[in-house]
Amino acid sequence: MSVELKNFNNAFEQLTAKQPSALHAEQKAAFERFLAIGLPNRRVEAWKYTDVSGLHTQNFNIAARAPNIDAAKFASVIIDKQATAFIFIDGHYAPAHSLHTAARGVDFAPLATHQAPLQNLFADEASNAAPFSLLHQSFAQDGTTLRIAKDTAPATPIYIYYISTTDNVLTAPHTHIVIEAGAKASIVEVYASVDNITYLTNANTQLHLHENASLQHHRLQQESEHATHISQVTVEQARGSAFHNLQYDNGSALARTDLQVNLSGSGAACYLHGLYRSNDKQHHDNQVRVSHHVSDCHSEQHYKGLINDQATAVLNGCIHVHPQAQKTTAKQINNNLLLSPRAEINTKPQLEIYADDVKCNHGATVGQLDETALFYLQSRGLSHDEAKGLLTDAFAGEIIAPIGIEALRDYLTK
Amino acid sequence: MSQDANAVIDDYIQQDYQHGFVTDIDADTLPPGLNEDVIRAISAKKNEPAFLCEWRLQAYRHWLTLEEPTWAQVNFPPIDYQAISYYSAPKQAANAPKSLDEVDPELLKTYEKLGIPLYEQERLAGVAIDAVFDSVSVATTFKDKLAEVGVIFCSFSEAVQNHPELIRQYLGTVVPYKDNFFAALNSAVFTDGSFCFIPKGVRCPMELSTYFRINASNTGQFERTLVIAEEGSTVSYLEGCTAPMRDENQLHAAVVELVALDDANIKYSTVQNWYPGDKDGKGGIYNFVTKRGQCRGKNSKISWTQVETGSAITWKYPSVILRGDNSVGEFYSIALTNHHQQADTGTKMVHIGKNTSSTIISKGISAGQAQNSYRGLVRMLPTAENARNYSQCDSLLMGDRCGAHTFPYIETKNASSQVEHEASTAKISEDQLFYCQQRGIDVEEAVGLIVNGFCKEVLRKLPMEFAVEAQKLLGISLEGSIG
Repeated sequence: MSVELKNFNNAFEQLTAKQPSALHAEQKAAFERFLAIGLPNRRVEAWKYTDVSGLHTQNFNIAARAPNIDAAKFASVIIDKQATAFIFIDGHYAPAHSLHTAARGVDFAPLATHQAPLQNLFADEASNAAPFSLLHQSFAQDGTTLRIAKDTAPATPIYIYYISTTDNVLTAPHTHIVIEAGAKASIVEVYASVDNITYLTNANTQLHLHENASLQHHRLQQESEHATHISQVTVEQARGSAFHNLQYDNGSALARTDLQVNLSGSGAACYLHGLYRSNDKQHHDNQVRVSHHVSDCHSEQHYKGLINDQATAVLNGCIHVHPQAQKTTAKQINNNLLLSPRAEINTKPQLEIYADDVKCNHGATVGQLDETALFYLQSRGLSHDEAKGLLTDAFAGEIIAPIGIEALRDYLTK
Repeated sequence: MSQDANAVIDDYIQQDYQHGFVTDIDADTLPPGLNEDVIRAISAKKNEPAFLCEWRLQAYRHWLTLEEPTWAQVNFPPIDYQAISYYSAPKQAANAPKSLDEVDPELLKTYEKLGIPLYEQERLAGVAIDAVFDSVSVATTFKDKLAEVGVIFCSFSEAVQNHPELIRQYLGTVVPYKDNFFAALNSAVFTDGSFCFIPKGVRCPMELSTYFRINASNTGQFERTLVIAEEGSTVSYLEGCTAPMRDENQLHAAVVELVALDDANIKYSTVQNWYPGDKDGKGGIYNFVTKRGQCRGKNSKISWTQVETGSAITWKYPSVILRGDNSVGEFYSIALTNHHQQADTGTKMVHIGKNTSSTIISKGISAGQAQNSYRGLVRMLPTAENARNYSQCDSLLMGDRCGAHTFPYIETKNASSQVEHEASTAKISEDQLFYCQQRGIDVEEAVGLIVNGFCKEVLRKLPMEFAVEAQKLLGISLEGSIG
């Protein structure tokens, strides 16, 4: 073990001390592998633009249980107070704060109540070689397991909140959702904090869409401005399933999300939308990879970025079409507005195509607000800032307007 | 797709290389292997000044510290750098021919087979040819005409003898030997190449052209080209090549450096049709080239145009460093891969100066089991105010076992710059083919039409003198099989 990973080792010792019985051999093995690999550096292609070396010098603690906290403290992050909400505080399920309306077909259980080790969910080799996947497997204590029963469609959206409340806390919330055949659901995952604390969230979300299932999924990353948020999202889609995703990045000092969608049944379609609003010295990194494994699938990626101050944004969108995946149609668009002279964007819209009967397009733009439009609005009596606000809202509107949940749409536009 | 169209594409895919033959000439060749003595031997054979020999050795020592890069989307067996002979010169070169009459008739025959007889070229519309046969220049034409206006156009070794001060001033300033693995190797062992110097205010009166040939077995070809355009000058430089058929892979690691000072304009066009290997992927040239231009002066312009149809593996990124304010960079490319060919090619546009602009148009055609990748970088630095880039890279797929990939890196650190990138990948649509057939155009011709239309934007950027050669080369790949 290198000296640099001492802080993670200390945190893992806390975990072992606090709940020796709850630890699985697999968890220890994952941590051993993490120590052997270490944190990625910028010489690794996938981390070329994102520097996580800052994590070496932070101290991390583990919360043994959800702390007692007044719900008023995090009221501002709750989007819809009437809707079903599963709330996790410092990585642990807090039933007292949650609202379970017991809608038909919704089967929820906190991960901590499961007997089988979580690491069984990481069967593939890739996740056992990725440092943050291993870190997640090492520290995951609790999370969501949710199953939407066959052919049901809960009428209201389901909210899952992961809220950090303690300085230096390291959480590894895990979300495992299965949408059974023909079922339909709308889910919102929120990552947030109380106060301006420093912490690390290393989340992992696995979504399984069975035949003809449909999922509207929304991920809001609204962590504190001193936080580091690193997450992996994996989606498995069976025949005829439809997956809609929104990735919204507004919080964190450094945020990185790896989204992998596997289109494994023909006729499956995914629509991936993203909006990153990066301010101050924030760093937002999104890695999106859609793998077309079989024929007749459709994928769309549309990410937009508003980058201000000295913020940096990174987007790597990839469409990978395997040799069997004939009749693939895929689209990928990335638009960025640089709003300040020191803002920075690194984008790479990437195509890897091994089949011939395909139609794939991608495009990327980097620009700034239209001077004429700004002038027009100012000539109509708006101040420069108002005009700028109006134009950036219109730019973001393309991603926010199609959101199917009114409460969420209002929350994001306010 | 209809049965007919499949048959046409199969024919096309199975077509053999039509330029394969070996010319039998005695070559003065060093034994295989690479060490400091070999480098000193090359330097001594070429009677080079001490600074150049020292530079080669520095490059070699640096090369020893490097590892062969693996990031490109290509696969090939490891190269044994000790099994390559680093020097091979046709014997005739020792007592250089004064005129074409003195040139080895075997050589002239080779050029005739390729359809580029020097006699005719000389009489034709003012194309000067610095023909490179293996590693040493054997014939140079039109030198007098060029000398009248002060243009220096000669082989690299001649330039080392006659203009060492220019070499010393410019060599390695665009592509330093530390740049990458293959550039370092080239800097250590390069044997010859072309040198071109356009003095201040001169518009070069003719298109300058070099034909490269690779000949002696097992000889790596390490060309070094340096083009310098002084203030207000203009030059159009053409480079084209075909190679004889052989089984063993040949390594080719060239370096091309372009320097454009204030208001200078360099247009560099390449047609590359080296032996791509047979249809089972055996043999073929490894083409690992570093090409870079630097727009040093204000309002300067560098334009790369390439038609890449040959080589087993192409690994090539002609780039432009846009340092001068208002400078312009352009990249127009057609890359055609067939059988087991692999191409990882693209460009880099690095914007440093104010109001700089760049255009990238890349067309990739992938057939058989070939893999064709576009890898590009557009970088806008904080100083590049109001910089502009437009990129378009399209891929056409023929056959269900080929691949087309796109890796465009866009790095923007400037809020006043604008970058646009678009790309598409598709196969020839059945609708298009059906439409043509309906109008009485047979499948073969229709596929040809569509492929030509696909490449048109790039083809029309080629200089007139070169267009014939380019169309001929594309034609050889396409005609009789695809249109």
